[in-house]
Amino acid sequence: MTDVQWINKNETKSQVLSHPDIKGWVAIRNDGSQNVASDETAEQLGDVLIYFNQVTEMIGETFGLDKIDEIHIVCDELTAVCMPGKKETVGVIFDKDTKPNQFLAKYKTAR
Amino acid sequence: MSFQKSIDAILDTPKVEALLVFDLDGTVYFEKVPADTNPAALEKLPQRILMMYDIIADNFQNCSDFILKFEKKNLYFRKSSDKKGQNFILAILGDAGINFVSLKLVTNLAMKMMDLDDQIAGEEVAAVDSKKTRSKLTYRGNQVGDDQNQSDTQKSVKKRSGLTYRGQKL
Repeated sequence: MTDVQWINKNETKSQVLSHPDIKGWVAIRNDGSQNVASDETAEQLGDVLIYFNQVTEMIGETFGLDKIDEIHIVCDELTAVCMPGKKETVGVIFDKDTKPNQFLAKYKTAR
Repeated sequence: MSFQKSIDAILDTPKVEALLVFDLDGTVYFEKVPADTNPAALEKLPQRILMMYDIIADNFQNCSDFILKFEKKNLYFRKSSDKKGQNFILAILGDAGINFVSLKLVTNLAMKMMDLDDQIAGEEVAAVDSKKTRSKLTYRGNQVGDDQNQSDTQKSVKKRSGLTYRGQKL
């Protein structure tokens, strides 16, 4: 696994997403109007996100939770992290061995 | 390790606040939740979680675990099978500062030693009333929303004959 330098606020979100430890990414508008993906696997993750935004809200309401920050999906070969935002939701795919937290912190603070 | 011991081990993990154990039909084997839990949403919770697993498997890849991180709390879901091969899901509510590494270790051990039949022998089995469905969101023809009047339109309601939910036969 490659070491990731700690937060550089001059970095753009695109630069963070182009790191070699990131296997793919997808961004979908919450109204479903646009879906941009780095590859086919990321596009499939986008299909999941379309449903997730609504179902996770319903799951959260059980315990009075309404503001979801991240969704981590752990699969056999990879881990996907989805970050719902006001206008769009971004999903990032990592190798299973990669620890995503440092990327997420970088992404959230990047331009 | 008996069913109850497995459950106790998970509940004893620091910052764990609630636990639900249910199988892939939505039959609930154990439920310990905070007093202020929304009862109507709780009834539908296993069905919604199972739907999440279906959505991931159908559109993306098979997944065993997923985590929903909210501002103040986290929800951790793990799919596994007990020592007799019966599949089940753990749904764990924890504080935002919960240590997922130690929780994973504890649940790994508990899941390996768990025997769902222990619980069936001891207690009445609860099941999720999947006929109560919700809104406009649909997945494979299923509605996922909150409108209980739409219960008759649910196409994929699984029959769970012989099961009871809070004393009522389904």
